[in-house]
Amino acid sequence: MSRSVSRRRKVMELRIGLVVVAVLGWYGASAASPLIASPLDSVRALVDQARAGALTADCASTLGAMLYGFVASVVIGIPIGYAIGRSRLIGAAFEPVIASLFAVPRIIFYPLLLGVIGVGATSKAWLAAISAVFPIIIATAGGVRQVAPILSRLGSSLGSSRLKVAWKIVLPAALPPIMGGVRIGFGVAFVTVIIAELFVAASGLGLAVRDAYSQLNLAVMYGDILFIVAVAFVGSLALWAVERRLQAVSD
Amino acid sequence: MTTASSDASSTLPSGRAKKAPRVDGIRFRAGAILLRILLLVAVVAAWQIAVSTGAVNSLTLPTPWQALKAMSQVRDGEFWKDLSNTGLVVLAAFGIGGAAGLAAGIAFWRLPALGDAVEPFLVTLYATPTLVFYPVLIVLLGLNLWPLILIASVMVFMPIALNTMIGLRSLSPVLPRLARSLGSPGPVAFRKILLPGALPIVISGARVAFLYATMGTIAMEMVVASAGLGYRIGYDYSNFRTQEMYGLVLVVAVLATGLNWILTRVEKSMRRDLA
Amino acid sequence: MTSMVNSGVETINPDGHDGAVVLDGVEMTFRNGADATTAVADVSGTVRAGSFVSIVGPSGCGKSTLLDLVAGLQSPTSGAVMVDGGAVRKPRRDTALVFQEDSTLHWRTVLDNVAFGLEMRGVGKRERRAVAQEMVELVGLGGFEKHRPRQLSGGMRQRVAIARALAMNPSILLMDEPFGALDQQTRHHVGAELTRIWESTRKTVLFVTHDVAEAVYLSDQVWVMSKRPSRLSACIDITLPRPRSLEVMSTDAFQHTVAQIWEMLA
Repeated sequence: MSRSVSRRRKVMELRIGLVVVAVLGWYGASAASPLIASPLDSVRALVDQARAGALTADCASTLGAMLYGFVASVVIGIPIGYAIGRSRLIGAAFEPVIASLFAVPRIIFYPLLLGVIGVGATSKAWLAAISAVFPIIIATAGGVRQVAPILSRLGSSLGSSRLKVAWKIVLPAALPPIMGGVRIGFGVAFVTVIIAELFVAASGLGLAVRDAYSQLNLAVMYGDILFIVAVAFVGSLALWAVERRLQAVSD
Repeated sequence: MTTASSDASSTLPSGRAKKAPRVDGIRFRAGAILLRILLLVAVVAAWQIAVSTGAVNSLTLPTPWQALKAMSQVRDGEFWKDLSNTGLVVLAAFGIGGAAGLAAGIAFWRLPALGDAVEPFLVTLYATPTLVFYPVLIVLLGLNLWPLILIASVMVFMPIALNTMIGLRSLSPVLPRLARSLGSPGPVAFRKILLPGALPIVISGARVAFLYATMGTIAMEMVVASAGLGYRIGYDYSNFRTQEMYGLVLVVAVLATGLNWILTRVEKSMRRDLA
Repeated sequence: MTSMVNSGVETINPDGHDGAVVLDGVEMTFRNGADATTAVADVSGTVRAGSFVSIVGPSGCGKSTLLDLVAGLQSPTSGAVMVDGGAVRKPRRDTALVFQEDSTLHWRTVLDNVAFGLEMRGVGKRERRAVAQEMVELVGLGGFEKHRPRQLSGGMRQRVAIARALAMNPSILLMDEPFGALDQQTRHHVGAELTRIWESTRKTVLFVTHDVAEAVYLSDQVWVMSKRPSRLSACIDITLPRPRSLEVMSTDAFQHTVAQIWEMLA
């Protein structure tokens, strides 16, 4: 249909336009102030760093902690969310608890983790886990709840165990909203790790930015910031695409 | 909260065939409260055991009782100054981000192509640690509260813009026609007909936005600020004032929970009035 | 009320099939706090093995409850439900349910949907896929194995559900208003299909419907239920010859029976 094709082109053009405006704005700002490195210098500094291998350890530390925490949040969060969504009693008991805890800034528990576990990737990972677990629990509970009741009836009419019904019927049916929560959890895990690194860390991309800042190594700092944004961009878009594919299948 | 309904045709998975359904109501609610109490007891017990057995160094983790005492001592310090600093940033961010979010939400609704174009960037923004832009903002705005306020505004902006757009989109398309048929000019029509319809969803977004602003501000204060609740926690940590830190952490947790509770009540009552 | 309780196994299973059902004084009362609703009060009847029995009655008269009882998903408050001489105590493996609402799993192909019942019962992949393939063809969906439910019409999705139930090789097929969500033309078409399938497999079928004409067309016997608390008002034998095509619906005998039943429901 020509209308949707022209619409999509318009959207693409707008997107490209926005990116161009942003880059131009950056150039303008860098020309206006010596404290802002130009896009070109930043990218160059980033590439130099990458070539010299200076980024690898930090990258690994950040991404490692993030993935560890993210996986933990999924493994813990989905079963809890499932229980809350499926059992009226558990839902009534614990959903308010989750909702209220959601408002507490998880970063304030970072010093606690640092004290108990020590500085390093593990404390960052656990902070990411306790942060990301909330959107996952909430999304899973919501998704499980709105699974068509007829499907549960199908499961019980086959005389299957609860576990089988959960694994083969309810969870697949609730997958699109769960993926939404997982995507948000992923973003939260990433943000949490970076912020933790800006606070106290032994290594990581956040620490790299902070070091560059304190050494006034501006091009490197902006390059690292750009890299962090790029990672967030790629990661969240990938998960978003997965989520949309799942939604298309289920409609 | 959940209504008790005996769906007699709902069946249990394998095992025994189901007899007449359970009694709901009082027993159910009591059961829910009991589960919560059990959870609390389990957490406190685990905490106490961790400290008592020395699994965790008692210098780094006080006992529950010590933490409770520290909570009450919190107000002896600079608590109120810190609280007002944080509160100032949050409120300013809410105002700025809210206004910008409303405007953007309306724009995205009016120009769907713009909304679609911006969507992937907004999705990315959610996953971006906006604090990394702090050095840039210091250069642009100076070494004051404005960088923090601006970053927190972004956290407010997103849910409000999103919810405004969704709320407006959820309105029946006949409403703008109604407005025109009544002869009302643009802004008036918007205010009286469209906005009230979209308001319930926007209000939910506002609650979430306020919470995000609070969480974000405290997080940022821990890293970069020189005043505020988050800063104080970081300060206590760096200076090994463990007791004070735990007290403050617990107080902040309680305050945040209370804030959420208040906001939820406000949201519910406003939505009820409008629905 | 016509009560036909038979104790002789030979009479119940004349062709050697399994799946004879006997309901004896069945009552089902649901409690909700202080209230109690009796959906079914004192229903007794016999379903011969291999016969097609429809159950008609006003809404809310407990027709679906009877199916649940035969399937072993619920227990009667009093009275007994027996299949092949044995009491029904827990969910049975020789019954299969087909529901009114669309119960296909939208993330699976048609073939995997049909194989699903077997999968949940632990049958191996190769075996269950082979059986599923057979069933897919039996219900007339050959060629659609790799399709997904959202690509199918409502009538086709119900055929998937029927195929899934048949794949489990039950002795008793329990169908709860399976065509209720379909438009009339589709109903007739799928109904004719169902008759064809039944005539080749000869399972015992308990078929709940609110459409009297459909009931008369499909069945050997029609049970007429009263309003709640329901009793069995009558068991009407349908003696129209088989195999039946849709044309039988315009015969006098057919119309007469339908009118007769409508009168009982009024």
